[in-house]
Amino acid sequence: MTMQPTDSNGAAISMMVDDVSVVYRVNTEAKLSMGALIKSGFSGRSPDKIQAVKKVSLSIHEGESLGIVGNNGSGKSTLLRVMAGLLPPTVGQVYANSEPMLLGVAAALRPGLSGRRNIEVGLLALAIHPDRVEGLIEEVADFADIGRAINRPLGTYSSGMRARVHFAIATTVRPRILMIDEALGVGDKHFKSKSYARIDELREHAGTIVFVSHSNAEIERVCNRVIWLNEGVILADGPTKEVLDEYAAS
Amino acid sequence: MTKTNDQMPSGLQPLHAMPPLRKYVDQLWQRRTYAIRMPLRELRARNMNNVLGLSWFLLNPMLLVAVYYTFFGLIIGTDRGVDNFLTFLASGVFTYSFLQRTMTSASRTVVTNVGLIRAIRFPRALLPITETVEQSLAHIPVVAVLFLVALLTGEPVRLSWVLMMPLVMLQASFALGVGFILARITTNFRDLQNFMPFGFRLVFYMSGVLYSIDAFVADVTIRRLFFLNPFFDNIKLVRFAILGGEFPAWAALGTVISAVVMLPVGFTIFRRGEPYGRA
Repeated sequence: MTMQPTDSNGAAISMMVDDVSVVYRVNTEAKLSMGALIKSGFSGRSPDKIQAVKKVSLSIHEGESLGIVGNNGSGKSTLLRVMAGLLPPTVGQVYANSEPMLLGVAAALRPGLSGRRNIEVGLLALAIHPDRVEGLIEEVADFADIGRAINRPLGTYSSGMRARVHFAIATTVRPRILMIDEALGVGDKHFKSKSYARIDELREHAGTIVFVSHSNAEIERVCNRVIWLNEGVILADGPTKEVLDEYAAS
Repeated sequence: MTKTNDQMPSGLQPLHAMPPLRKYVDQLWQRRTYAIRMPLRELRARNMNNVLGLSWFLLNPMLLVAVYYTFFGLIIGTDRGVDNFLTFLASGVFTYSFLQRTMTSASRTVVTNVGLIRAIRFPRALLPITETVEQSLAHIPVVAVLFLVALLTGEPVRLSWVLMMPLVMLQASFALGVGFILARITTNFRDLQNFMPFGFRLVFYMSGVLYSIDAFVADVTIRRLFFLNPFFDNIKLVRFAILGGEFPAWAALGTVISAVVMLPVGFTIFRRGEPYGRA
């Protein structure tokens, strides 16, 4: 038998964030004068560094739903992407006991392809077995409610329709570690309630959830633990109610 | 300091690391259907908004060879020492552009698909591979045009035409290998994309696309140096397959070696660049 890493309560650790820092390198426009040009080696730019996440370490256990709160630009989404294994950190590492999946708004859809083909290719990109894909296409299209538009190029869809297609594709997979970035409810009122139900289904299946949101109500509904991130540093970490109160008082 | 793998409690795997070769290849194999279907759908949709639609896959190579023939065949006259210059030219131009286009577009895949990279986890080598499959599929009608040009210029149907199938696969393998390396360099050094057109231009002139080196290069030693260029070898071998003549053993050797060596070398170099998508 292999040893499972556990905490004092006996629940296994499903994810460990180890000393993670993320530095964005950005090039800002340099002044277009002769002196500035020579100083920048004729590149016309001055490099700048933005530290989005600073030395963050934390462990998450099976059964935990972790919320991340903080102001705009506090590094929430960056940290979530690092935890989802999508953005390599500048320093540090993230360990997980199964493949995490991020449910975000950023899409990998192709405007030139029809709705049907986008669903097909999207499901294949999620490594769903090809034998299952054919059957799932109709199911996903039904859920996204695109009707006869399924054979039209995605570029002709309204932004709401596109968001629905993306959501329907992304929620086909049921990961053990689920990451959610904002915007739980997409589309109109009717679709919103449908998508909430779908998320609840995924949450029941997932052992671990990490959730970034600006809505305290949503965080309270979903999470039993919250971290408060400010300028890339964890200011507070604890039970949902306590941390949210502290955040609200700031 | 980050912990090394063997210090980690079992069950937890690092997310930001180069997976072991075996696992990496397994993950790629799982997604093989994507690598074939994505290009098929993409090619089918590509010319939807053009009046002539799918016929562009045939028209494009025809126009290309017509332009070259008008200038180099009729006006400049580089057709010295070649019997069927039009087919000779088409073989060279088509093969060269297939190699160049595949290398160029494969080298951009990591940079252009950063949205996909930041959305889904998969072995990133899938991107250059899928691009190469797409270019190879798009090359099939081009080969058909090449056969057509050969027939129209009075060439007989040769048994060696069936060689085109394995030859295109060898070309794709060579181009993907180079594309892997260029893609890795591009992620750290975008400027490479600005240098590439000049590099390819040089290769174009050194590959005897527009002229026969037997007729234009007198020195035997220099002529032998041309065989060190895989582009030249590939073109030479395609010309043999289409037009017949003496079997170019050195070109065949160069074609096979460049394909068999470049693919694993390029793949290894690319994989060592994982994880991609850095801030």
